Amino acid sequence: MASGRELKDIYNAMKRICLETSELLVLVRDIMGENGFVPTNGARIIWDTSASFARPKQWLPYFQQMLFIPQAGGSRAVGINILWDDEDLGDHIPFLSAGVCYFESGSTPSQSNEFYWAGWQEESTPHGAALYETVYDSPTKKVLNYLLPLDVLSDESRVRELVIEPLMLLFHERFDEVEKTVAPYALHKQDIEAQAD
Amino acid sequence: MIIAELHGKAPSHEGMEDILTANVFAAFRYLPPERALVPFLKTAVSFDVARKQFPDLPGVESASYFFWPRGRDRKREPDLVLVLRFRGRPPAIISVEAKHLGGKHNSVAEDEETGLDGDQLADQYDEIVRGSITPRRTEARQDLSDQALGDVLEQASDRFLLYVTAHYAAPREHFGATVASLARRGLAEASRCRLFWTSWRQVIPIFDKLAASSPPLSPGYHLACDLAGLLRRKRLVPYSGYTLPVLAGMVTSQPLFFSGRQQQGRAEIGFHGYRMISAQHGGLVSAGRLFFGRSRGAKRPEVCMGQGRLKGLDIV
Repeated sequence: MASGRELKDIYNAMKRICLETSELLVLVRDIMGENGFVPTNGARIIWDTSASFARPKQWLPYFQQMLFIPQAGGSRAVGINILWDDEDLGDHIPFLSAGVCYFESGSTPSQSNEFYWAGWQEESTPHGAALYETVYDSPTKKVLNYLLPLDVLSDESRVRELVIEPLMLLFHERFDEVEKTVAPYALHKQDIEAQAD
Repeated sequence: MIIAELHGKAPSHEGMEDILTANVFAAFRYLPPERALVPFLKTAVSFDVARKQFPDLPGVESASYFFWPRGRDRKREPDLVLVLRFRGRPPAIISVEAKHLGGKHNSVAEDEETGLDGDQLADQYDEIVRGSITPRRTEARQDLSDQALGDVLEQASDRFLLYVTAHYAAPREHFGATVASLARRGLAEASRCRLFWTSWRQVIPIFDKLAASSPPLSPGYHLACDLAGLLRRKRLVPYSGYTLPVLAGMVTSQPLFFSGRQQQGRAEIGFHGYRMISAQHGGLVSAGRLFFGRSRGAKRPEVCMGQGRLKGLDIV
């Protein structure tokens, strides 16, 4: 049986992951703000958790998502989604998805379930060496994104290089330039499936 | 205060920007300007989109620190006013406004008569330009025995505003209203390239460098280590990715080492609470203790676990 000390160590490690994820999200929020983008959903980055004793698997957040639009508004958003756990993926390593979401014309982007799924589900098709394109029949009409392991984001310069600058390029639909930057680091669907096995 | 906060003996000052300002800038004050204050100022970037660096400050002879002086006209209280004195040229004045978790403290209502909109940073820059700053009495006695701050303000050739926050990148959404407010007051030209921002997160590399370059156990070394420790505790550090958590089994409430016990002619020294995963031994091997022992008459020490001996295990 695990000792109380061991359980507490695991709990502390969980808190540390939350803290460090928050730091990554704040860093992205701050740099996007410097570039004139604002979060679509305020400070809210988690949903689909449960407070019920009967649903313990949903006590923990299994993803965090932040989307941004220019201060002037618009129906095109860019952002990140960190995916820690999904039953469809089994025991995969956590990864970060970064992409551009095209919402229905005239709608106001907020959060996107489609962005959560984009890039690693069956419907996603490769778009060059690193990007995936997924088309939906929903408020999020299309997502173009790439997937990164979290451990490549080791400091601010790497976050700027591999997340912020590509997001700016994606927003302006300069997809070839994004490919060049992120391809050496990007995960592919088959990588994630292999990890899950 | 640094030590008490560092060791969790002071009440939690999380988000209390006055305490943070006092800790950081008091540490700057105890050091020659070129070792900490000037490098910190050099991290600042201008409010405008050109993001110009803070101007060079060659030949700073001394720096005076006036904590929480009072503004006579706009009734503001900057966190700090710095007076930098140079060899052979007029002094420079820097009004510092520091934030930790909060935003600007703007006044509520616009004054129709004066056209003032209550923008905190604009008010503070306005007062620096007017020279309407009064130091607290204790500060005046300590730093300006021979010259009133008012005279220095009059002589100053350069007047800057430095906005310090915990952001990782310049919070441009805070700047627009300030720049617009100064333009309405006729101070657009005077404030051009005079409004700067930097982050608390820029402090720690300066103090880490200072600790590394100071003789061990010297006053400068202790000051640098303590302040860096405090900022780490507050997590006001540059982003550095995910760290490896301390996992169960790697931490024990017992002492890590044990030694010296004689048992059946065997001297032991080793580790408590040791756990090992070994493919060779069929997964998790949990022995409680790992130690090096030497049996009576044996030529070489052996690696032992628990009460037994682990065959065929090489420790590298």
